[in-house]
Amino acid sequence: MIQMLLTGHLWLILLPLLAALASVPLARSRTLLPWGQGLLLLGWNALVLWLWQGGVPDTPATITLGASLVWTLQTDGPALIMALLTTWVGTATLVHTGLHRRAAAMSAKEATPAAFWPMAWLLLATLNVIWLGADLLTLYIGVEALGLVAVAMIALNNKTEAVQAALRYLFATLLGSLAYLVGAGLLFGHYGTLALATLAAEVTANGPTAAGFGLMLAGLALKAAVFPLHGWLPAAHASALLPVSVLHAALVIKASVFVMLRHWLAFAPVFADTLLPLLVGGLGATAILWGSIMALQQTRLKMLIAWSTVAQTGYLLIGFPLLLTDDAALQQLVLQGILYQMVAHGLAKAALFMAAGQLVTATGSDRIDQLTGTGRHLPLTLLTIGLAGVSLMGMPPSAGFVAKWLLASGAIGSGQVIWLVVLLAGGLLSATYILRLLRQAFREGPEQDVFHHPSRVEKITAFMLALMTLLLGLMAIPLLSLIDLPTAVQAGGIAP
Amino acid sequence: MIFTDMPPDARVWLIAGAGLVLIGLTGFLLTRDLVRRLLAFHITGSAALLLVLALAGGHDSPVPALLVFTGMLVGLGATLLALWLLRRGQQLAPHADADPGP
Amino acid sequence: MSWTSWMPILVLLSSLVTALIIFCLPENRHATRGLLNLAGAVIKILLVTVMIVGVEQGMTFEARYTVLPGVDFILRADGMAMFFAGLSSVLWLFTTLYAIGYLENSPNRSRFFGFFSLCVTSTMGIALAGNLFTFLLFYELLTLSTWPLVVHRGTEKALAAGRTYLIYTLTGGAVLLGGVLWLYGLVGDVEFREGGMLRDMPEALHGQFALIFAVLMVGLAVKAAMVPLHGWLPLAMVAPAPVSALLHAVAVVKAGAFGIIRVVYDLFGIEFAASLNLLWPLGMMAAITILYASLRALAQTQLKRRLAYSTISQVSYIVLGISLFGPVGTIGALVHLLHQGFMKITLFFCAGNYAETLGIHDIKDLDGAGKRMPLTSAAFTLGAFGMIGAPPLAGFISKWYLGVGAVNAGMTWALWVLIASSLLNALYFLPIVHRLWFRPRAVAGWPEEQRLSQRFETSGWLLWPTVATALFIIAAGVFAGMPFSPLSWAQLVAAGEYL
Repeated sequence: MIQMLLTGHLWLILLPLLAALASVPLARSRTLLPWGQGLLLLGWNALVLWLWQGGVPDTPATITLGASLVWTLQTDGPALIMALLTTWVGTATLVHTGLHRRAAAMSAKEATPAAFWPMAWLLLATLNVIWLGADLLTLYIGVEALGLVAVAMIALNNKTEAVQAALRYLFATLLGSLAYLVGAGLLFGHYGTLALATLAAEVTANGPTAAGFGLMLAGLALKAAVFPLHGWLPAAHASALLPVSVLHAALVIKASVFVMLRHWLAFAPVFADTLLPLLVGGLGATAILWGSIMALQQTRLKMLIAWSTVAQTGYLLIGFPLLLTDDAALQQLVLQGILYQMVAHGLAKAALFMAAGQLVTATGSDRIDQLTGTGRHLPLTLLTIGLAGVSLMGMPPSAGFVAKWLLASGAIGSGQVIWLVVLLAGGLLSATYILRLLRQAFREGPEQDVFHHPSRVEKITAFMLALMTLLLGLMAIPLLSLIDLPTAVQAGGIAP
Repeated sequence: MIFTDMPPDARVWLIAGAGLVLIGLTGFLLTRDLVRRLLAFHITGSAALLLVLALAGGHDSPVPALLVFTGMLVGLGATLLALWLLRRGQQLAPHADADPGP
Repeated sequence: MSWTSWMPILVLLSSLVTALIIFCLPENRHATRGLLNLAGAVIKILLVTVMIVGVEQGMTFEARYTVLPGVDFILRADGMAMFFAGLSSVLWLFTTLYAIGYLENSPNRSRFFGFFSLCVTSTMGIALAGNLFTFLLFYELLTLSTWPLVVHRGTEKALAAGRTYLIYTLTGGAVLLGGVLWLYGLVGDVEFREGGMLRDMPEALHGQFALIFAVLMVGLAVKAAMVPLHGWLPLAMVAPAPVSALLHAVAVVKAGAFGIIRVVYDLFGIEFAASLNLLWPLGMMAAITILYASLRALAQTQLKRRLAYSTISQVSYIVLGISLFGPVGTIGALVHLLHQGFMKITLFFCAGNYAETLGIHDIKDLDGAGKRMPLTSAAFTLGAFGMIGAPPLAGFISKWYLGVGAVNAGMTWALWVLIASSLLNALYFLPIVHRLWFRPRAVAGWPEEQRLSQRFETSGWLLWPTVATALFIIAAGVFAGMPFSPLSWAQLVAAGEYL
């Protein structure tokens, strides 16, 4: 514990928690808020960069409460990568929400509610708990807390549809957690431990394991809006406040998929010969198809982006069956691909949502057909959409392309060419709806600039996120080198 | 297999838990009224905790109790949140007290 | 890093930085933007010249770093790269000049020139790419950066054409990616090297290599507009004339053709490709494209559409030349890559001049335009005769080498294809030339005449680039024997490909 405080990894959780506390009084003052938040963000970024420099620590940190009761937190490669993503997206969202002149000038009715700030930091803290969690209890606590905070944040928007969407989401997330809890109980009953590493080492294919693992997967799939359990997502993302949609689409959905991934690495290898891999991959493929088709039919900007999240979550699932190979190098490749896809999608989707928010501000409408002429008068915002779109399509040079390359290499290496076809076709499908947006913006509109421009800080923040997807597409080594298989195996992976 | 390995009193809990989960879920899926849904959900949740106790017991460890305790805490939080949301929803649209459905 | 590694990077940066600055410039800073464009283009030509001289003396210019574990980003200037880079950098300068004049007083110029420079950056990247991964990176970037140019006018027609363009090129890109991934999965990162690298691989893989070759060719043939994957090109004619000139003469179609050259010569190696029996199907596809597109060109009534079909047919000359096994055919293919670029850009510049000055889009309105616009019409005539293959113009040199190559390779059918297509070329170009010079102008006058210049037939920005590229057509033919001429450079490169 003490050692973990010193090495700094526990601060990934503590610092956002403290920031949440500090945000309660801060959010009361319109003048102090930007400065205080700026300071907190600076500290957080410095911490994460320092940890990135230090690399992956060898030993997990454990907090022992009793003989068989151990909380395990470990910063392994995947955790560190996700913590980096959380920092980047979190920082950009908070800056985009309140650290600019337009926010200071807003009337009390327009302004982001004061409760947003502590809640956002709380959300970020619980996310880090999930990335670091290495036993089922920690993960359960993290997932539950995340779900509750996320629901409350969606309800921050004072609109009937937001409250209704939040309620539906609440029921979905609670049901998902119950399934997870029962699954965890089952596994504990059979193996007598909740530590993922121990479970991964001892796991065998039997009834209780299948039931427990299945319950957990299903519960998490409901929380991650995996097709066909995605019903709650579009309404929730479209009706929430903009920064909430950003955090939710970029990070909260990822958290459930990430926990799925951890469990998959631990338990799925013993079920490799069953229909399970095909089922999960097939659901992913269907999600890509269905999400893209629905996205193409939307008339509202935020709905289009929300449906694209459903499709992109499917993209992550395609990697799951590819992980089940005996070749450790291939497995590492695929794991890198999935995590890179999470980073790529997180950054691109955050940039896209922010840019969409700017377009809504500019045109005063959420409708796609009102975008006419924005290409001419808001070029930076459109460039942001373009760059983020390139990453979502998986076109080079972008982080999305690197992820696609890694996943596809894994598919070819293990001879599962069907997933390669899905990956390539999925990119083309996402191109259809991204280009629909851009095409509308390229139509010539009013000669004069009639748009309400967002502040420069907002435009640049979203653009920086989009630019990061480009840079991460040109330089993949700094992130990818954080994952090498031995650590992943230690944390929750397959016995070598 | 799971069933036969269990101590007898755990079997009772398991059956009771499973039955209650079924009842709760049925209620949850059949009703549109949001307050009733919440109640049905509560039954499901409590039953699930019973299931956890039945399934995870027998290791002489505080872990199942801790799991259940956490589950109860979360249930409390969730109920408060749901009630708050229901009130917000009623304040915003006084006559719409039913979930529009999926 | 030594200065030799910086050179290829600087070549890319010279237009990339230009693009970024132009994106940030306010719309009304026309002079600054023009100056930036020209400065970028001139710097690029200077850098490329230094590299050409260096490569001729045996220096290597290479920059590389690892993007992904096991996958490198490589920029390397070899003889083949300089061929395409030289063509692109020179034509970029002329097209920039032309575009500045063409887009005078039209909106969205920052966006146009920004993407225009980005497009050139991708073309240079394609030229200098040292392995398939880098090639693919820039190949897709080219798709993305040309789309805004195609839809630039924002009309429904332009948007529809842009959509077709993307459906074709993105799908082609996905197929190409599939092929590249397959190859990487089999043998890992393989660099482009003279003579090819794949023949040293185990015999057991050769069957898969043949399939990969087919997949790569399909992916590349979309941009090279080979029949039946050519549908996007005639539609893309809605774009502004400089874009058509650049797309058709240099960037997109040539990127496809150059990709085919790279794969055949520097990845598989021409001898290895021939031993796998991969060349003759390629040749047949090229022959079909040449004849089919020439026939379609005959039926077009709009000038730009006729030129578009002519492009489809002419680009496949390059592919036909590749499929003729033997150094002479190779020289023909390489030299045509360059010659066709100059000829076609001249023709498109002329088409743009007629449209801007006289409002002429249909061939039937061209009657008597030679007297009104003598220099433009002379340039057009040169381009047309070059395309037909009349000596001593550039087109004659390429067709001569292609023909001799066909005979040397024992593929007499290819010779007949060349003769037939030359006849067709004459059939669709000579009537235009006849209308220009020998028919009286229509009584009704020109469709929409604008006085763009007091002294010349049209604005100097439009006229002089046209004249300059037309002069290149003569020079490339007359001075074909000089050192550093396209022909002698092609001979140098081809010599390295056969062992």
